[in-house]
Amino acid sequence: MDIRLVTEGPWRFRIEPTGAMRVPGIVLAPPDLLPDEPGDQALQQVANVATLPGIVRASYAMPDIHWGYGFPIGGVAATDIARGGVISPGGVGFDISCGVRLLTAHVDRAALLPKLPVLMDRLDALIPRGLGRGGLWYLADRTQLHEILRGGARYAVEQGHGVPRDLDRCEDGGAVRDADVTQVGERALERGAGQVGSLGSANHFLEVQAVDAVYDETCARAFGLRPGLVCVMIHCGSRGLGHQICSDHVRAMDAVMRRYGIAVPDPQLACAPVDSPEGRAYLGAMAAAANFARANRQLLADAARGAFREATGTGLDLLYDVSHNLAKLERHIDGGAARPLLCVHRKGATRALPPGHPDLPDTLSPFGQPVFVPGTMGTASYVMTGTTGNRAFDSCCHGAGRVWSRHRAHREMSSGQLRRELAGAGVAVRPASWRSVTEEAPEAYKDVDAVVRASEHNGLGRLVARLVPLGVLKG
Amino acid sequence: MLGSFADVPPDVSWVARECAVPADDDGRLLAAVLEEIIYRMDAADELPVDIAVAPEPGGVGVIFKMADSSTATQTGAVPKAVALHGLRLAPDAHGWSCRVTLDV
Repeated sequence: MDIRLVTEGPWRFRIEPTGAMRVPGIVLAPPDLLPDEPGDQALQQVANVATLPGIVRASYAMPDIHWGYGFPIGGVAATDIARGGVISPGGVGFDISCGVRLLTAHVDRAALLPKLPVLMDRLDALIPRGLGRGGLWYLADRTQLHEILRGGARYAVEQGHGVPRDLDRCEDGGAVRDADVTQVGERALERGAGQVGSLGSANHFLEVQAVDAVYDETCARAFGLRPGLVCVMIHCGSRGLGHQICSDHVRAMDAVMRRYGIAVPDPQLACAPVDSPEGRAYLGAMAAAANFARANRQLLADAARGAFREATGTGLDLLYDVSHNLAKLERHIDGGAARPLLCVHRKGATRALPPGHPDLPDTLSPFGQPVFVPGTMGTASYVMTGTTGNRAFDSCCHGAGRVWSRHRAHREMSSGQLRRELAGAGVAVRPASWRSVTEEAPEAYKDVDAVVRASEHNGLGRLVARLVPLGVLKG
Repeated sequence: MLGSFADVPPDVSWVARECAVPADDDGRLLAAVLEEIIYRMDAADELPVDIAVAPEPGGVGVIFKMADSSTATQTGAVPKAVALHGLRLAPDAHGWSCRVTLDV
């Protein structure tokens, strides 16, 4: 399928529908954020997603778009369930409900700095990450794992791993409804059983950060942010359990697609109608994996809270926890008329509810939903908030977006060079392995400042605050 | 695959694990064997140091030599899944070649 990319002003492009595309592609990125490596298939993937049965409005790409599998990373697509709309596990991604939570401390940067080495050493010893390290929560039996898959962060808090207020600040109150443990395969359960409370590796992290700048004082105050305040950002997901569920259900849908008359241009786009046995099975398993991810982040946050209390005498308050790899059944208003029920896939894209949305807790409702945009371990991260009139189904970017492959990062960056660079920037890094962490060098990513600027110009969210790293834990 | 994320000492002790891996075509067969390894890495904390593959009706029989992952040094992001996107295993003028993308 040939791509016809048309400029729509300085901040976005449109891919005209051609071939089997049912809707246009809308790429919400300026020219300097478009993928430019030879052979890159990210834009082709935007067009491929536009061929999915039941897709409505457009196949969207966020400003941090990069080449994924099937869906691009930074892709958003909604399908109309009543019109045969499909669900695609590849549109959620392997790391189901991978997401970010941000906690605010009760201490400022200047007061923390003398204690930072001790805090980082404590976190280094405490947080499981990297190759084969297990998890924080040693589960008694399979029944307890099932409870986590049904109850997510809510179950973790009930078991003493957090405080009730945490749940008020989690998407879905900390647990996705309708998790169906019977749709989670044995291998997924085996992989997940020893990983509750672990970061993993790759781009996942736990960072101690400080608020460097505030752009919207009223909103920042409501979020509990002020210049100089220390925060903790955690990025991780559903670990081996989520990956296994994705693999299992891609295979299951690949086997039955033709029965539904569906053909897709990439096998990783395997899908089935949402309202079908295979679609419902995946939704149930996906919800279980999402709950695993919510419990995972809850455990890590609770451990970080304990380390902070030891090092500073004060704790951490959860600002918000939100996923960026998930499909949700949502209704969206269009031109004042109620829309049908849609299955909104966000693959490397963050839900960004506008002010007044009924799913927001009362304390956040006037300001919109917090959106977290991690940069890299050597650059800034951002807090944004959802805005009204976001045509990309209330979605925003989710990070800086990779530009280098992991092989290229190894070729172009030595661990010594990276250590010097980060030490020069005053960032205390505790990696599982310095050789491994070179793959995550700041140079391997897009300019996160440009990504959030493009997000704001495209009406995906509004800037609230800029955070800079003080200490980084990587797997 | 192992070389992309871990160094294992050459004299590491290992145990043999056998299994049958079915698949419809060569590309899917490659993916299925790699998935078998990833599953064992997560579920049993084992890493592959060698592999022997023999044809069987409908797939292959595989014997893995697996080492305890605590013996390894991590050098890269750890694979968690095999993507079907761009998957290829086919004979060419130089023998067999493959292309596979691992999610981490």
